[in-house]
Amino acid sequence: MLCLCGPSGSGKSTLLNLLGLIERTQVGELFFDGDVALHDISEPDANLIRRTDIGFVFQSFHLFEVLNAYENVAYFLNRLGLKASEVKERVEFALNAVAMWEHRTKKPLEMSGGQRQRVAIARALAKNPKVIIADEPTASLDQKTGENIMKVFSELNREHGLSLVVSSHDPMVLDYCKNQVRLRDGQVESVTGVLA
Amino acid sequence: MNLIFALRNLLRHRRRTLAVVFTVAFGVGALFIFHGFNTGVMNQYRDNTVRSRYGHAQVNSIGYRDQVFEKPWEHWIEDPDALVAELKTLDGVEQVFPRMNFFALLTNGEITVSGRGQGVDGKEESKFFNTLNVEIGENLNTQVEGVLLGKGLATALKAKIGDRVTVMANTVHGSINALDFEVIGVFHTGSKDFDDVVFRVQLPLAQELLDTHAVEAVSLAFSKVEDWDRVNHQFGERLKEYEITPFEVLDKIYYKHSVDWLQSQFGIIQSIILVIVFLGIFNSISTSIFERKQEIGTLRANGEGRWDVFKLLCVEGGILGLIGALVGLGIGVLVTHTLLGGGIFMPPAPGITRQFHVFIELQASFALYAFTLGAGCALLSTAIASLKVVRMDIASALRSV
Repeated sequence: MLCLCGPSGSGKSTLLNLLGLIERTQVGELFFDGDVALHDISEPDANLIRRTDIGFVFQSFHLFEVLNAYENVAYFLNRLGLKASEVKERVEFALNAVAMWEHRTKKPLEMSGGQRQRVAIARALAKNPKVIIADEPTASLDQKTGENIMKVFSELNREHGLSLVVSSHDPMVLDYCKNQVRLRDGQVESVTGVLA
Repeated sequence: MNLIFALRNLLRHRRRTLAVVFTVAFGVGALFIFHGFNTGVMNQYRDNTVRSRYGHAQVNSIGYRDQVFEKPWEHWIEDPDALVAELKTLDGVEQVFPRMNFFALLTNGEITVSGRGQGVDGKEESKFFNTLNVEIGENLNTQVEGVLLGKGLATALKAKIGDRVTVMANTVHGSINALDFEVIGVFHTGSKDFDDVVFRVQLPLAQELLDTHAVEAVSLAFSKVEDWDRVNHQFGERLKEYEITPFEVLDKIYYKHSVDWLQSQFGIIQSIILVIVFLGIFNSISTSIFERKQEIGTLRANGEGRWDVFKLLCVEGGILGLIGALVGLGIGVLVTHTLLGGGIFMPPAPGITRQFHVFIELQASFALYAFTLGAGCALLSTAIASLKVVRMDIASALRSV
C-alpha cells in the first residue's frame, strides 16, 4: 500500500489521475504492470485497463443513487460480460470483504458515509483489479469512520495481496502506510518505505 | 442492466422526467391536433365545393371548357340519357346529375335583375348537394315550378317564399322565351360571386325555356373522394367522346387556390411549432444531462467508452421520447373528443362569406408521423447534448458539481 501525501495543491490527485488513466501525460513516461506504456496508449486500450485492471475509490463515493449496494457493485461486472453466477460470486465476496453484505439491498441515500465508502471499495474490489486507486478516501468521513475504512484497506492489502495507491494528507491515513511518497508543488519531496 | 439503469435514472428524477415527457407530449399533441384542424378546414372547403356546386367531377363534350363559343349550346351533350346511363355503370360513381347553365333576366314585375340559371334534377341533387345552405324555405326537390334563389339575388329581387318570379332567356334558336316560377327557398353557400347571381330550377323547365333537349354537363357524385383515379381510368377507356374534369380543377380559383394558400400557411406554422418543440425538448434534456456529469465521469473512470455512455444516454432519451410521444397522441385524442368535441366556430374563411364550424379530424397516418417526430426530436436532442458531455475529460466530469 502506497500513500501519496503532501499539502493541498502538491499534485497528489493529478498523479493519481495519471496513474489511473483519468488524465493523460503531457511529458514523461508512465508504465503499468511492468511494461505497459501508459503515456503512449490508445483510448480504447486505456478504457480496457480502467475497466479490468484498475479499481477507483473516490472522496465523494460516486455511487449510482438509483442502484442498491448489490447492483452498484454488480454494474461494472455485468459490463465486463461475466456470467451471472460469477457476478454473484464476486459481489458476495466483495461486499463480505467490506462487511456490507447485510446491507446489500440499501440504496446509497439510505446508508451512512462510511457504508457508502465501503460499497465504493467493494465495487473497486469486485473487478479483481491489479491496483486500487483511492483519492482522499477518508476526506468526507469522520475520524472513526475514516479509520475503519483504512482498516478495510489494510486487511485487503494484507489478506488478499491487493495493491493500493492512496492519496491523503490525513496523519491517521499515513499511520497505515509504510510506503509514502511526499509531494510538494508537483515535485517528489521525499520517499519512505520500500521505494526509498 | 443498461435498460434497468436508464429506467431507474428516469424514475429517480421524476419531476425532471415528467417535464421532458410533457414537453414531448405537448409538442406531439399540438402537432397532431393542429394537423387534425388543418384536415378539418380542408375538408370543409372540399365539401363546400363538392356538395354545393360541382359534385366530385363534371363531364362535358371534348374541348367545351377550354374555349368560349359564340353559341355554346351547339357544343352541349345532345343525348344526355344515353350518357347518364353509361356513367351510372362506372365503378365508383354513385349519382349522376345532368345540368345546364344559362343566362337570364329575372323579374317580379317591379324589379328586374340578371342572373345565371342552373337547370338541375331537383330530386336527385337534393340528396347530394346538401351544403347549399338553404337559409329560408326549402331546397329544390320535386317542386315542378319552384325556383331556388341565391341570397344576393333574392335580396336584389326582395323576394319572399311563395312570390312569383318570371325568368326570361334566349332560346337556342335566338328568340326570347319566359316562364313563371315560384320562389321556394334562398341558399347561402358563402361564396358571394355564386350567391349573388345563381338560381336553380328543374332541368326540364330550363330545357323548355331554352327550347332544347341537350344538357351542358353531367356532374358526378362518387362513393368517396378518393375514387377519382378509378373513375377517370374507366371513363378514359369507355367514353372517349367526352371529357371529365375533377372538382379541384372546376373550382380552381376558390377551392384549389384557397387550399394551396392555406396549406402553405399551415406548413409555416407547423415548422414554427416544430422548432419550439425541438428547443423545448433540447433545453429540458440538456439540463438533465448536464446535471449528471459526475455520474458520467464515474462511468468513464471505470472503463466505459465515450460511445458506451453516449448509448446509455440515448436509451434514456429514446425512452422519454417514446413515452412522451405516446402521451401526446393520447392527449390529442382526449382533447379532440372532449374540449374540442363540439368543433371550433370559425370566422369566414378566404373566399367564403359565412362562418362555419370546423371539427378536428385526426388522421391515423399523421399520428405515426407526429409520434416519430416527437420521439426523434427527443433522441436527437439527447444525442446533441450527450455529445458535449461525453467529450469532456474524465477528471473535469468527476469534479463537476
